[in-house]
Amino acid sequence: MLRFFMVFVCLALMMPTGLAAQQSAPTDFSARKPMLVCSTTQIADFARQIVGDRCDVRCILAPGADPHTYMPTPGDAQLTLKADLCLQNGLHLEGKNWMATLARDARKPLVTCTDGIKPMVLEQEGEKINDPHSWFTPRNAAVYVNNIVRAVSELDPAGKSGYEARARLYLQQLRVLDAWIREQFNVIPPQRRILVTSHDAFNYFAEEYGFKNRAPVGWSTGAEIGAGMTPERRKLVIESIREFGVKAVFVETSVNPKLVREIATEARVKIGGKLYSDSMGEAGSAGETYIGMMRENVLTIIGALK
Amino acid sequence: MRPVLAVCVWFVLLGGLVLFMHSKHESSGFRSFESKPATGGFSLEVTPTFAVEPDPFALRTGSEEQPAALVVKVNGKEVLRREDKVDGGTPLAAHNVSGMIEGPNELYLEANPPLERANRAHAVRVKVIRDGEQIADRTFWSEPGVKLAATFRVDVRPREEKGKDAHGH
Repeated sequence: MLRFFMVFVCLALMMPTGLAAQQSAPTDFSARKPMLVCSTTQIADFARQIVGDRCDVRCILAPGADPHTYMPTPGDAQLTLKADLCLQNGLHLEGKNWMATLARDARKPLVTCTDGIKPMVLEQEGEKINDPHSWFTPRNAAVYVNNIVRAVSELDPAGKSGYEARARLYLQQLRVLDAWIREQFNVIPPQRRILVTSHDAFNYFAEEYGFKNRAPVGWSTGAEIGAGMTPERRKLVIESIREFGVKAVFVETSVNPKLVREIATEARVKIGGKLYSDSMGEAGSAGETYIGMMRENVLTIIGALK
Repeated sequence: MRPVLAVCVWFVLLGGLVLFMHSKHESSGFRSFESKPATGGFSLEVTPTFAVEPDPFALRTGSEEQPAALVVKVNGKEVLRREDKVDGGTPLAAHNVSGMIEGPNELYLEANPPLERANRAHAVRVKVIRDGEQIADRTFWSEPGVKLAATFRVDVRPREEKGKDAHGH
């Protein structure tokens, strides 16, 4: 009995040491590519711009899918099990923190790409909520990029110089994008810069480029506090359209357009087009990359409001 | 006898080859590059025509300092760095600049305009001074939308060849 007890004690003492050794040992990526599993299409695009072909980048959300209401599938759990690193937006964009749950269940490291961004605070139903749609300014996108560079460099130190070199180029592209957006919006008089969209996703964008924004649906399309459509919000949107003489309203690629169509009919304004919001476009479409998505959104807004 | 003869022939052939290679190397004029530090006291004067501010699009991996508003490097070594906002027209000076060598020197300049004015071209004037005497004066323009990044060469001649001793290009 004593012998069994001693063996048990020895095994119990060895187990944490073995686990710690396993955790601290750097993974050898000479035989295979590191796999990154990202929650949203924007984060997957940022990651691909940084890692090139050195890593295998997978995305849980399909183009056009809504991160607020997404329900992970068994396939997502299997994919996360194969991951070396998980990347999420955070700030509760992933409804009920589904990406954090997937990563935790699979015991994989998780990086929150919005770390370091000062979130905009929305007051809804007496609650203060951090707006999660922070990728909508290139300046914030640069923070996502820097967080991803740090994480992949730590995961795969041999690829660090390449990751940093690609990131430097991509950050310059983001800078050019920002300057281009400012230049483009010059053609819209400030009093006409009213952006009416399906849900409250464009606060960062509006703040950066001098727009007022209105949306019948709150910050999330899910069931969180301050989310969803309320009669008060709907009324406010229609009043704003009439008050400011808004020329057009916009539907979003990842949100059902029915409500905005109803509002457009009631307020007698046209639908100005479809904006990429919580998700980017299909492969092969103009919005399949972050820069493409932002560019097409800007051109759609200008086409309808100028 | 035959083996000894064969060894001798091999020695003659190999020795001839070694002598030939040695003489070829000497006559080819190869010499190692040695940079000689330039004598004198060097200083830089950098005047941006626009307000420079820290770059929000800088790569920040955690190991480096705060993002820079303006950086000047001489032969890859940083000699001037500002991380705060600097008003346009303010001359920024770097004294006792080390790392200048006789011959061509490469200077790299990076300056970040405010995002709100990024869609315009911006200029920065750079003067290189040696012992109070200006040896280079260049003005660089950025393309609209990008930060100003320029590389230029300053030739520093040895002290005894005074006169028109350097120029940018």
